[in-house]
Amino acid sequence: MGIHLAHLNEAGAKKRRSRRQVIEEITAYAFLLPALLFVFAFMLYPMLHSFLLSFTEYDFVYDKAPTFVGLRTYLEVLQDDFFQISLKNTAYFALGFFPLLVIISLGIALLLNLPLRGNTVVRTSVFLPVIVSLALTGVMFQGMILSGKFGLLNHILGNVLGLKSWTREWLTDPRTAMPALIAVSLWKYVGFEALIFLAGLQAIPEALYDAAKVDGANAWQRLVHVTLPNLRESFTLVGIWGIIQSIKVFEQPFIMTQGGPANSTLTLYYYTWINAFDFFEMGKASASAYLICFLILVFSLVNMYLTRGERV
Amino acid sequence: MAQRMSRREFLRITGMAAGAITLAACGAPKAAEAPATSAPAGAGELTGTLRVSAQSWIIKKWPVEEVAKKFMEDHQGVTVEVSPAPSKGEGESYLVQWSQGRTNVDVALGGSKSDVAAYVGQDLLVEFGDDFFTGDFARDQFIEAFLKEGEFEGGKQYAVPLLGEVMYTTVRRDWYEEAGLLDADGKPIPPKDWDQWKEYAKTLTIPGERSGLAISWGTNFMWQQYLTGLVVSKGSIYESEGSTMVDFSSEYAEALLQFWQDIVAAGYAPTGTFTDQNANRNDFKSGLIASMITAHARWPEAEQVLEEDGADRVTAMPILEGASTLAYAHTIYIPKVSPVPDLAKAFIKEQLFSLYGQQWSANNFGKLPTLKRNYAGLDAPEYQDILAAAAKGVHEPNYKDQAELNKVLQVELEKCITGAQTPKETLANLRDAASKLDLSLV
Repeated sequence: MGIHLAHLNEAGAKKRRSRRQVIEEITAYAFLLPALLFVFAFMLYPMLHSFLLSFTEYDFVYDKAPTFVGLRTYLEVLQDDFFQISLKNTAYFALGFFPLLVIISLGIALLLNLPLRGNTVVRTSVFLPVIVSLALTGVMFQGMILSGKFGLLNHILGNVLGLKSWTREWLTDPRTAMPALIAVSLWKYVGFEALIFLAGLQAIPEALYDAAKVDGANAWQRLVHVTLPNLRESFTLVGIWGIIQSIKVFEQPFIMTQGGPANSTLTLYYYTWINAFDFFEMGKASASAYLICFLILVFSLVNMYLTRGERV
Repeated sequence: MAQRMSRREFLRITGMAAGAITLAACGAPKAAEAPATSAPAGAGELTGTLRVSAQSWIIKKWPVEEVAKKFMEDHQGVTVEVSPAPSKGEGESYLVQWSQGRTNVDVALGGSKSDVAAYVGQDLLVEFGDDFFTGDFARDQFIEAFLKEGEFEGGKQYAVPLLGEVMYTTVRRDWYEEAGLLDADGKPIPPKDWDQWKEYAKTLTIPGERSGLAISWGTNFMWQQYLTGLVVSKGSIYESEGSTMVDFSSEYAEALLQFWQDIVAAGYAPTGTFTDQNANRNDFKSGLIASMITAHARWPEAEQVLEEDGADRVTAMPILEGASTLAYAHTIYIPKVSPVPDLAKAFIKEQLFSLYGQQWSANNFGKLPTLKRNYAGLDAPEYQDILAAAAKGVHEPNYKDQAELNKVLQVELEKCITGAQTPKETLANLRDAASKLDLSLV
């Protein structure tokens, strides 16, 4: 009888525990629900839907429903002249922007890491462009700095430095439009990258530098053999972020050049946008978006491979 | 005795509440629901709520809010709500909403033919049939080119014109006078052909200081500029009589492109509009441009800035002597899902086509009335010439792949204007691109 009662009590406790567990689980899911719904509705569902659309032909205006065409949309995109131009332009942007971004932001971070007076002010100044919206940055550079007639740059070149022949319409000349966009992007993003490098620099133990000095290493050798190897994580972060910014460049040409002149600043993202919202070709737009995604993935993996390894 | 809530209970309740709120928030937005009231079919005792949406610039340049009040005064049972369109008013603004059978708009104002075409393509608009075009609003009461802006395949009218524009030249009268380009009446003498325009541009240009002629070559105007160039020089935009294909092959087309290329190469014309659609109008107002070919409404706009001291510095001039020009309109359209289409049509006839509204916009911002009778008594003398140009104006076609054609045109013409390719090569490229597009009329 006693054994029987004990068994019943144990079973009751188990039941109670499991009910409590269930309530806890429900509570936990209730808390997670808003985030889950958000992720599903605004991220997972659109991603899956656009992935399916990328295998269809779908003119949002004239077609009642998408028509499944398999990989034909991808082939059409790859053969599209505008896609090829945008791929070339994006490569141009990335090759100009990415190395300069890394070099300049690293240089600034190294300077900011020096124990100099006024560094806090400089650090704030360097970071300021990051908090300016990209659209505003575009408008500001287009109207106030790079404008042929009213721009500060031409004023400085022509009136202050006396280099009249260097002045030009920076954004309406196909030869200078893309370099101008690269320069604006650097102004905007260098501060953020410098901050990542600075965090990495400040995490390097001082003892490593002391040991290097004892071994007779000069400043250059300390930079090459101590600082840079210990910035691997920073390089990985900066690299992935920089690659993404390089490939998904959109706002700058959208605001400042509208992809022109003569397609000289038409980038992959802009190409996707035009297909989606100018041409209403949702299948092509989705396919090109996934091609961009694929490119970012490949370059990010390459970057991770190149920056792999242990901290020195 | 107050009971203390345990931490666990608190978390449980707030968690449930968060979930419930989230689920509730997933419901359809209330704004998109149709209003409860609607107008009766018969006129005279109109009731209901009419939701009018206009592109933001229209709310500024057309007295929409004022006429809405007037309409409510005239019809005590009616409420009119005016709101700016969510975006510039292009195709995507309402496409999704209307195609799902919902709307928070009963009358939409603004949008060119190509903008409206997106809605027509999905059969989302109310047709303005013969019952609409009666009496004072018969078809022949409208400027034909403006009315055509809302006409689609099969002669179906899915939009009616709110305000009109013609392509024209805005000029600095004082500089034209200095250059001896005014006639005895003080009116600028329009050039006879592109060669004479080149001479004008050369005479009016001061290197490093001002450009003789600016042409709107931005993405918002390139198509219209090309068609205008054909209209004023050839009298038609099509490759041949009866054809619906725009001319990409004639000597007129080549001469136009050669003219554009030459004036840029010589430094008489700026290319700022390639990247900044407002570059020419801003430069004109800043005294950096002597003449500008674009929508005629830039003339009164420039007057407001350049004639603040009362001096008569700005006027309007035909692009070429005696030539017609391109005319287009910003239209009014009603979604099929609107529960009050009759109320919307009454508002359009009584207020949007009213003498007051149409002339207010013309006198203040140069936007042209779309009904012929509303030109009577307009203040500025230039209006008679502009009306004449509008009356014989040519309207633009709209093709199924219009957006794609516009993109190709922009790229190829920019290449030509900057000298990267010859006019011949440009036209060949355009013909090649056009052959791959669906250029059936919408």
